[in-house]
Amino acid sequence: MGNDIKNKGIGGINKVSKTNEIKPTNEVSEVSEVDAVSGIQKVSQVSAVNGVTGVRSRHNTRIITLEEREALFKMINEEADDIFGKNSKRGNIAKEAVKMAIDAAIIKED
Amino acid sequence: MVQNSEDIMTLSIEDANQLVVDNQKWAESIAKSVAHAWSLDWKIDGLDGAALEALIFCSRRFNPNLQIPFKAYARKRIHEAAQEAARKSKGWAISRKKDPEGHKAKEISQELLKQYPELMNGELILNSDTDSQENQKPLTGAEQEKATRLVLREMLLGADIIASKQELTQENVNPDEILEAKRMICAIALLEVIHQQLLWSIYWEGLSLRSLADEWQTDELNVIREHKILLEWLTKYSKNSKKVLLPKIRPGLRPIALKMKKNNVVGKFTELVKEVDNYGK
Repeated sequence: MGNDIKNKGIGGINKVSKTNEIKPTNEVSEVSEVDAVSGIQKVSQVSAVNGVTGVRSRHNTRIITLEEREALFKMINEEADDIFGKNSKRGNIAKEAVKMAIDAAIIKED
Repeated sequence: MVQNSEDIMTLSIEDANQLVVDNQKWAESIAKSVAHAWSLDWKIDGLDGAALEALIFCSRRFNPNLQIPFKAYARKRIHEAAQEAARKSKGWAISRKKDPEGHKAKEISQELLKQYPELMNGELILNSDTDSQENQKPLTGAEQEKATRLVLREMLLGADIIASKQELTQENVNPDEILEAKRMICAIALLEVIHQQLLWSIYWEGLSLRSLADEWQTDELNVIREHKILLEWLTKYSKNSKKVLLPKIRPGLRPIALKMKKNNVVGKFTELVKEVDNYGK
C-alpha cells in the first residue's frame, strides 16, 4: 500500500507540527500603549468667499468687482430697455438707481 | 483676547487698535465707493470720519472666536455708516435741489441696498429659477449670466415700485408720475393678501427678503422666489393687463396666507387704493 501511495504521487504525511497554545476565551490580551494625542493644529481663517451668514451655502453668489462693472452696467441697460422701453423716464431713474447700488458695492482698494 | 462682562470674547485694546491701523485704508475705500456712487466727496461730506468710527466700533466688538474674518464682519457696518453720513451731508441736500431726478435715483438706490444687503458685502445672490436643489451646484458661465440678469431685472422692478411709493408721499410731483404710481398701486391691490403684504413689507417698510422670511417663520427661499414671481407678474401686467392671470400662492406660503385669511387681514394696497379713492370725499 505504501508503494501504491508513492506511485500515485501522494506525498507522505508530514509530522504534526507543534500547535500554538489555545488561550482561554476569557483571557484579555495585552493592551498596547496609547500614543500621545497630537497637538491641535491652528485652524486657518475661513475666507469670505460667500459672506458671513449661515444660509449663504444655499445660494450661488456673484462677487462684484471693478472689472465686471461694465458688463453689469450693460446688462442693466438692456434689461431696463426691455422692461420699460427705450428712453422711458421711469426706466432711466430705475437704471441709475440700480447702477448706483452696484457702484456702492464695488470697493476699489488702492 | 479679553473676556468682557457679558462673557463675550473680544480683542485686547492693543490688538483692536492694530486692526484699525491694518484696515484703515480698506475702510476708506468703502467710504470712497459710497461717495463715488452718489457723486459726493468722501472727505468734505464726512464719509471718511463715519467709516473710521465704524471701523473702530467693529474692532472693539470683534469676537475672533467666531472664525469670521474681520473684514467680513465689519464691511456692512462700515458701509451703513458711510451711507448714513452721506444722507446727512451738505452734498446730499444740494443734489436734492440741483438734480431732482438724479437725487431720486440716489434715494431709490439707498432702499435697494437695504433690500439687497449682500451688495454691501460686494456680492449679488443669484437664485435659481426652479424649486429644486440646483442652487447648491455651481453655475456655468451662461447660467450665471442668466441668473445675474434675473436679479438685475428684479432690482429694476423693485426700483420702480420704490419710485411709486416716493411719488405718493412727496409734494410737487408731476401728475403723470402720480398717475403711474396709482396704476402700480391698483395693480398690486388685485393680488392675494399675502402677496400684497410681501410687497408692502419689502418696499414700504424696507424689510429685506430674509428679515421678512424670519418674521413669517418660513424658509427664505419661499419669500425670495415668490417676490421674483410677483415682480415678473407686475411687468407682464403693465404691458398687457387683460391677458395676465393672478399668480398663485406657493405651497410653502399657504399656511401663512390661510392664517391671514382667518384673521381677516386686508391687503395693504387694497386699503391704500380705498384711501386714495376716498380722499376729499
